[in-house]
Amino acid sequence: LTVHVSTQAAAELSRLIGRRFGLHPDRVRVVAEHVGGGFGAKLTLTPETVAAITLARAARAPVRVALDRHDEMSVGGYRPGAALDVAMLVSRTGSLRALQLHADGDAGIAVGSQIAMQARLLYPAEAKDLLDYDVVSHLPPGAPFRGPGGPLMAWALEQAVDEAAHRLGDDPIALRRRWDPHPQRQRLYAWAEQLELWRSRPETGRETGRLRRGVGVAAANWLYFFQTDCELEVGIENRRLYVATAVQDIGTGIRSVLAQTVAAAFGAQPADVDVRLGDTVLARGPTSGSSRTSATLVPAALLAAVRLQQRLARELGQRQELREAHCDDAGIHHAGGLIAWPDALASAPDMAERARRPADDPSRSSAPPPLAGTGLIGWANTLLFRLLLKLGIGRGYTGAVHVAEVEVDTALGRTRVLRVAGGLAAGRIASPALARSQCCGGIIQGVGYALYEQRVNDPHDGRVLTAGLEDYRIPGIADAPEIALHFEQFGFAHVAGGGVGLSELSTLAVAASIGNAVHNATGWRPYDLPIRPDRLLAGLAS
Amino acid sequence: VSAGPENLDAAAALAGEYRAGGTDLQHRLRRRISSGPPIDLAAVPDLHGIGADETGAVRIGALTTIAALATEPKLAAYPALAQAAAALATPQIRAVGTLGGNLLQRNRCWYFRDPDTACFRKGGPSCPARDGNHLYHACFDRGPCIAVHPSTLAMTLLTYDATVEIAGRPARPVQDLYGDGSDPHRDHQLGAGEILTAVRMPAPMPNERAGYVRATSRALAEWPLVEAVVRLRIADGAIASAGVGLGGVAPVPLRCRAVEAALTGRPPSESVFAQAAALAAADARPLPMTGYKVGLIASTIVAALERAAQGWSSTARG
Repeated sequence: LTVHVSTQAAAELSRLIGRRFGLHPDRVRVVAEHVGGGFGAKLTLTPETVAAITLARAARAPVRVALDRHDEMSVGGYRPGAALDVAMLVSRTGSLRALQLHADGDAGIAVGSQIAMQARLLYPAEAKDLLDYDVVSHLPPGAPFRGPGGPLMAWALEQAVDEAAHRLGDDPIALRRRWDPHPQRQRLYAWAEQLELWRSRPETGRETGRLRRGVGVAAANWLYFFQTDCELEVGIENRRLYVATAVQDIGTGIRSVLAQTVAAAFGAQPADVDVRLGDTVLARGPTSGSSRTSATLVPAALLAAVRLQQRLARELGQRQELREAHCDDAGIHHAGGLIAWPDALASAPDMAERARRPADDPSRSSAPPPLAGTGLIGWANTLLFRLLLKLGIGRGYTGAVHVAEVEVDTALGRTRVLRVAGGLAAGRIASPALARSQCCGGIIQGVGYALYEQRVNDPHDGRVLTAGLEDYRIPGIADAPEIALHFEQFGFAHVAGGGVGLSELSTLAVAASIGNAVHNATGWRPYDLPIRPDRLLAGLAS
Repeated sequence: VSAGPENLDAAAALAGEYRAGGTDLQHRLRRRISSGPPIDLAAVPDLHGIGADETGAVRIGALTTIAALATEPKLAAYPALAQAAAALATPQIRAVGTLGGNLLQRNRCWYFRDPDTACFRKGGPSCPARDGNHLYHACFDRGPCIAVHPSTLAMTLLTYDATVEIAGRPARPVQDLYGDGSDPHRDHQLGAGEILTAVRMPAPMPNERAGYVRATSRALAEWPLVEAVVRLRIADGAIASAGVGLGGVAPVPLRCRAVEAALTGRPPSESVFAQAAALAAADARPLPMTGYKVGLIASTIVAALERAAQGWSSTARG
């Protein structure tokens, strides 16, 4: 059975299809070489794929099932909504004593929202009361969507922190520096405080006139995930390097990351490396989700590259009768001199080496073990993730701080995001151009989440009214702010390659920073997403 | 689309739906809201071209693109038309969308555009928006259907007292294309086989100042919550004449005569603008979810007036 499908999880999907149709996974080939985007809705075996397979088996002929936009936006999954209640107890001295966050997740007939629990990881408090509920309705099922639950949690928590700072007469970054012990975010706060953008922040509610400017800050936390059951192959074919694994590129740039990682090991250019992916005939690759692909595959690629170099040194050493042959970053050293890697490759026979992801070196990390301090729930979650999803949680959290500047038109109700500065700490950046692209996308998506995106259902029969891009508003190029990015490349020395994923991280706090900026500009705090003109005008009038 | 008819008589004899730029029709065909077949009018020569007569009036062929309305030097004396045309939709749509198509497009109600929902405009028995979600619908409740009229150009041409040519008939005022909004079954009044061939603009008003503003959540490319177009002539420190059009709020494009009367003869000042604009929503009858539009109408008109008066310099004032 060969299935061409737009998926974030080719390898996992072949297993699920095999289970559903009683086939050994080896007899199910899933091909997803180019995937336009995923964001979370393409993680599992979905009905359209089941329909295509069922029909194809019955007809003994290829069957294609394609949803048009209306169908796709009706049943293809969506970012679930939620209603959140947040409360904080702040001591007279300005420390956080208790935090309460209750979330009613609204994912239609789907369950499993985990929103409030994410608040556990940012600010330590003596007491925490974090509860997640699912409210089940007749609406189609929601799906995970970039940082599932995270932007919602940040919208509530980070606006509450902002409100606390406002009521204490404190600077919102100074307050976070006191409350947030995360070492990399501490560096990001120091960076943010020095920004001209932040230093030009007006006093809250002091702006007058039709157009009012405001600046807001918000922080985010994400876990360092990796997948435990993956493998990757680095090889030489016709004197060209290749790297192969059944990961899929959903626009996050894992193709470029792999090409760059292997090329760097051999002193070559990314264009000198063929990347083969998106096909389950290759070594088992990870799912693209939870920001795990780079953290999973970069260490494996580095290890496989070293194995290939050693084998190449051995084989060339024997073939060319080199004495004392051994290799390092530069090439193959021997008693008679050095064969640089490009020269070694030019005369290399075909060969390949595989590697699984090597374990981290905890002696190189000062971070506590994963989910330390989260008690039994954290421990149980870690175990369940690892057993059921093959998803490991490593040491150290990734962190982000976003600073947004808005201009609010108090006459027409429009909020424009003028500038956003994003500071991200996820260790060493594997591919700077791709990381920038990823993080700009996260910001623009956050702008859409804060200001435009809303799924509207008919209140009587639940049909999706926003089933096209005229009615479902996403940011256009004129809505994209000026973006500045800053990476703190520390904290993950225990991971081969020194870095982990930053996809989810780059969008989590953006909407909250915009909400805080609107409050700074107008003195009115937006509670509902998105900040539509009608809501803003009603808020300003009240 | 196969080759279309080459003259008006041939076009009028065909059954189907006329296709101008196709930006609306193609979408409705895909969504099964038009049964077609599309009749492409591009090859009909009478529908093209822009020309002035000896009185200074200008005839604009119905297939003139929206982009041309925004940039055509022959229309430079109609700056409100140029501003409104430049502000609607996207560059791609303006490049292929046409004047006639814009005037005769179908409404954008999300229930109308849903192939599986019945509504008055599709021959159904009721309006599902009325007790459904009508956040983007009318705040002038004029009839059983509460969709707002989508044509920015219709609202603009109303302020110019423009007329429209229908093939084989005498020219008639733009508002006759739309009626009063009480008929829930129609977005325009043309019947089968009737073809809008051109718009006639009266001779331009000298020194016209123009302002077009649409209230939207995004910067561009969004249907207006409220839109307003303003034409002003300012002489001797006072507004000598005013035209104010209003869109996004009623099943038909509106002209705000009361606002115009309140502006005329007064100086173009902030307080005059605010007092006059406040009259625009006097007849508004908002629905439960469209109350916000009532206040937005005045703000949008004031913003358009300010844009029109911009550059009316302090020297002129003094």
